[in-house]
Amino acid sequence: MSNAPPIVLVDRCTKHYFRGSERVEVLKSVHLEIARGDFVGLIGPSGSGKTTLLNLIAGLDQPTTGRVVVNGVEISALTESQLALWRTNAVGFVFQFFNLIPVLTAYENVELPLLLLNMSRRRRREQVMNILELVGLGHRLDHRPGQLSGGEQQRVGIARALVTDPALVVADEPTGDLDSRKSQEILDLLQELQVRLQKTILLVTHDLAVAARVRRLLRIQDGQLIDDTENPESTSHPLFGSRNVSSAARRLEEQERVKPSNAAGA
Amino acid sequence: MIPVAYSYRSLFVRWKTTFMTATGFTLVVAALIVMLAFIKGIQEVCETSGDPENIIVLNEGQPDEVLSQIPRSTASQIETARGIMRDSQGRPLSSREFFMVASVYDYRIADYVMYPLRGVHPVAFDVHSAVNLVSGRMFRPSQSEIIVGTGLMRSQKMSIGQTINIGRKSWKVVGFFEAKGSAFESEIWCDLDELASQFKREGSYSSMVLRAISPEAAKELAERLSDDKAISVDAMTEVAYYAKQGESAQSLQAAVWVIAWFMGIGAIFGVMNTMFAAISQRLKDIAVLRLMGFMPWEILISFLLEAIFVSLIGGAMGSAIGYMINGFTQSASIGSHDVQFTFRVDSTLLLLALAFSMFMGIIGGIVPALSAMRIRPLEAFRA
Ligand SMILES: Nc1ncnc2c1ncn2[C@@H]1O[C@H](COP(=O)(O)OP(=O)(O)O)[C@@H](O)[C@H]1O
Ligand SMILES: [Mg+2]
Repeated sequence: MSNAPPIVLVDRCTKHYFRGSERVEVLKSVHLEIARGDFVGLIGPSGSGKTTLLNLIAGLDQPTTGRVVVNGVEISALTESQLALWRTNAVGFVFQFFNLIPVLTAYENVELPLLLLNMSRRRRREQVMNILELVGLGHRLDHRPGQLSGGEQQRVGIARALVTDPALVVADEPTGDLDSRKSQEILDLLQELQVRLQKTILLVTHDLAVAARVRRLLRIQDGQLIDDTENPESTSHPLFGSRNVSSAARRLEEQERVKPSNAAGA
Repeated sequence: MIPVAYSYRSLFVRWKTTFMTATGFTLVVAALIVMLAFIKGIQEVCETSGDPENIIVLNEGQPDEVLSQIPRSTASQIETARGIMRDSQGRPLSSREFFMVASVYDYRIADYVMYPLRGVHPVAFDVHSAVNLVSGRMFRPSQSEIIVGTGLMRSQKMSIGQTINIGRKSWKVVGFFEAKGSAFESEIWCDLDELASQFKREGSYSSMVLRAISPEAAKELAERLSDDKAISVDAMTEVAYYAKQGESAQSLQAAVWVIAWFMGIGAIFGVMNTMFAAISQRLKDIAVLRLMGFMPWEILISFLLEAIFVSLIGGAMGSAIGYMINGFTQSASIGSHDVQFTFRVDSTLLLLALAFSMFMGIIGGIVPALSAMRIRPLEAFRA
């Protein structure tokens, strides 16, 4: 995996915001490579810059300095409308609060990104049905989000992220609004899909139990990557099925105990 | 494109608000249809009224028949003119007429009612070929008898044998006449000399109607009489006379649109308000759509469509209400004449009203839709 070019390259990126006249450095020279097909977690306390970094990689925002290259495209050099087009084809989004369109059915929600591609109705139908079967909702096509449980809604959300067959899937706290049993189910599903569909997944969380499920875990704090660990139990294979807190997460927990002020919060 | 279902289902989700907002359009569209149907009805009467072979003569510069006066001598002089049709005895088909509006006390409603009265000689029924007795009989001179147009008969619920006090005399209704829907149907006709003597107007007439030998001769004769310096009269064909009256209805049209626009302001602000509220509740939807790669203009179209749907729902309800006026008959004054006209709502008018409603929807919807278009997805998510 190390010989192939990385699917994501974040090349010495910084991101500043202005709060009034005060300059806030949200990302301080982040350098990061993600290998194709990897399942990467990004953990850090609230306000550490996780979402900001994710947004740069997903082409939602531009770095103040530095480059972002995804799948060979230097997205930090694209215009806004070029980026929109790029996102349609290259990224799938999974959100914490699912963010399904309430007035559209599960089927229609999943079909939505395909409407941006030049695709026949029949091919769209095939693709939507396929992915909804994969996430186990083949029987819930005509249900509106309000008629589905939280876990089911997130399955629809995942189906929507994957239906365009994007190389990269980003998930910002995808289990943040689910109970732990439902969270585990969603993580099982993500892992399964990652292996079966060969997706690269970047998952943001502040939950150690969630972080334990990834193959590679990045830790961010105050806008800097401070740790990069591979799960020893899954070095040969991106998928690992343990539902127990892994050694990587245990190590993290120890670090958290050392610096209690940085304890992960909501 | 963002599915159209997204726009209209959002409307059904908040159907109460949608309905309330739509009613703003309903009122405007219904009022617009009624007003335009009124104008259309008047124009129809004006276009169909008037015989192309007849010429109306009034005194110069006086388009109002009530105020017009033509002296007896002038009348005799006019009747010698070339081009006037003559009967088998060689008499010109010229109807000297005395027209007035009498206010009559009606005991049933305890109020005064205005009755247009026309005194005529028997030749009038040859000149006005459209006028036909439909029931009862013709009035006889000096017997205080009148015949009544069917329009007036219906609106005043008159019956044969009934008497009406006009001036100091009591007049008896002996017959009813039709006149192909023209202004005459709203009039009372009686003997010219009897009416004139009662109101002390024997020396002159209000107007004359001449029957020409052909429509072309009518036009030519009308011009000749108007241009004649020796007699101070204005003459025009009946067709031209009523067409001119129709022009006032046409000028009313501009006023109707001004009224419609003023009424429309409420509807426009209504939909604007509703759409701003809808957008602020759907910031997340907009953000997700943009993240997926939908373009700002697609957001604009989607929300504009929603406003248009509201305006079309309201417009359709307004059209349904407005359409109920179709075929309804009413009297209206054209100049000094009362005419029976029929409100006309045709498909062109309905489409026009719907288009107007949609146009208001676009005006009210464009500002919120532009604001939806400008929403920055990341900020919407952080909100
Ligand atoms: N658009 C913005 N304007 C100003 N400050 C921002 C903006 N976006 C993020 N920030 C700040 O950047 C920091 C990191 O935010 P974020 O990346 O969302 O953190 P995380 O996802 O790790 O909780 C926070 O302090 C946040 O307030
Ligand atoms: Mg975040």
